[in-house]
Amino acid sequence: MLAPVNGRLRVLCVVMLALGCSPKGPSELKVSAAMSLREAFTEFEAEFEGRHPEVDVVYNFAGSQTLSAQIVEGAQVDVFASADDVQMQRAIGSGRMRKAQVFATSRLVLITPDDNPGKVMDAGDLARPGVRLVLGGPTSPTGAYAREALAQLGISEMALANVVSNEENVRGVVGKVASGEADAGIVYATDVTPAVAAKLRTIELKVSVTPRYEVAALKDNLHPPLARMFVDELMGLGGQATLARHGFLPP
Amino acid sequence: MTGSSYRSLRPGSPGHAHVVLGLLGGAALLFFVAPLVGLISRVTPGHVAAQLGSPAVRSALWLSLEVSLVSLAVSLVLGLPLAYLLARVEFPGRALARGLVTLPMVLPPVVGGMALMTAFGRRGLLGGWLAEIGVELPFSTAGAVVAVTFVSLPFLATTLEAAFAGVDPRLEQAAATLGASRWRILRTVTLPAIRPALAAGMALCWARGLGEFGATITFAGNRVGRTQTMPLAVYEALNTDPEAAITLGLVLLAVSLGLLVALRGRIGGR
Repeated sequence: MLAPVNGRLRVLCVVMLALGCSPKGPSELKVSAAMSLREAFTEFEAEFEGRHPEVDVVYNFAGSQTLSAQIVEGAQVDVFASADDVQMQRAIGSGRMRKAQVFATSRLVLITPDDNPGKVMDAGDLARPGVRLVLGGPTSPTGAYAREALAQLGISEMALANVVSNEENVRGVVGKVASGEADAGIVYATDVTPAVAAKLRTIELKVSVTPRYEVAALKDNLHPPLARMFVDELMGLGGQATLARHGFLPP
Repeated sequence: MTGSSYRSLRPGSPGHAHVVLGLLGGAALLFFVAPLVGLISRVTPGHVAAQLGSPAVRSALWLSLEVSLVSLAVSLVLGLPLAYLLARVEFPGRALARGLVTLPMVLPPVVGGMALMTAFGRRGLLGGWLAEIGVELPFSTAGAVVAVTFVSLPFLATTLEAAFAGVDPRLEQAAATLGASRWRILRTVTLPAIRPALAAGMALCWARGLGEFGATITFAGNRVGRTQTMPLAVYEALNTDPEAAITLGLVLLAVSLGLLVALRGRIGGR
């Protein structure tokens, strides 16, 4: 009487097993990377997989503070690329990271919508009351660097009072400015990608804040040789050339 | 009688059916309870006290209550007449209107937030006109209310629409033959008849509004004290202090659960 049920259950189990098992194919290399690296890393992926067909690089792009929180919580990751040292140190605090190294640097710029509704001509205008400024959240690398820049310019208090949104990552800042909802934002120069460049005006920031990108493999990762290879090739000539093509500066 | 005919149609004792139902129903219950227990297991009373004492958390909690309650009021004022129209008044395009009202329920809230931006944002269709009358929705609490209402109003409207459709027209006809005006019939016959659905719809609408995240952060941004409601505060805390995020999540969960149990218990309990 119960036999048909058992039969059906058996089918269900087989289906679930089939879904659970990955087919024999390339090994997945899970790389958690800062959102600002998206285009450069996507290109690097194609090159890396071209050289190593046995590897399938799978990215998780987000604000570095989100990624480091995931690593601290035990997320299964092979490589972490952070946009600042603070978030790399946080990940290192979990005891799961191998040695971290700087693989690229960048610079900060001020962006406004193309029609500049807030009439922002230079960084000093960010202190003018009523300007709608969007930054990364204080813990996101982009937000931390931007706050450091505002402090160097001596306009922290006034400018921070103008912040109308704290974004999870730098691309959130770009989106709010490109859509024209915000008057200004502070981002990495590399975030003014071809996709949004026409919608933005870029103003140089005269500050000595250097965003530094760090990369490290995880000790408990599933594919130690692959993870090491990914880091080595990113630091190598090919990886550095790809990063340079996307506007990143050498370490 | 129905029981015996059921049995004759389906061989096998009802005991087996109960076992299967019990197992599947129990699994479903476990599926909902496990994450709850997981959250609670990570929280200590000290955590909760410390979090509730923090000004940022209190501001997010109050803002959440303010935004969700104002949104509930707006939903009532707009949703009640809308539900009545959809249920009781024949007009061209009614089927389309019904579909449009349920659309925000299936739309990813982030898409809803983007759509709101294209309509009410600074560069949106109505942005220029709104600016002229001095209304700026993005990055303002009013914008958060708009986002929350967009997502939660359908829950009230669809519940009420079904209730209006279910009111026995003979009751209203009887009142009409006794000389009651349309307005009086609505007030003394129709509205009392849908009261349970009104409470259920309000509970769903408020609870959904309290938990709203995607449309709010997309349309109104993440601005402490203005648009950073509890779900946004939880999301931000998750990246900086996961323990705090869990505590905040639990506080939000407790408020929602209390509300739902209170209202559903009152209505569902026959």
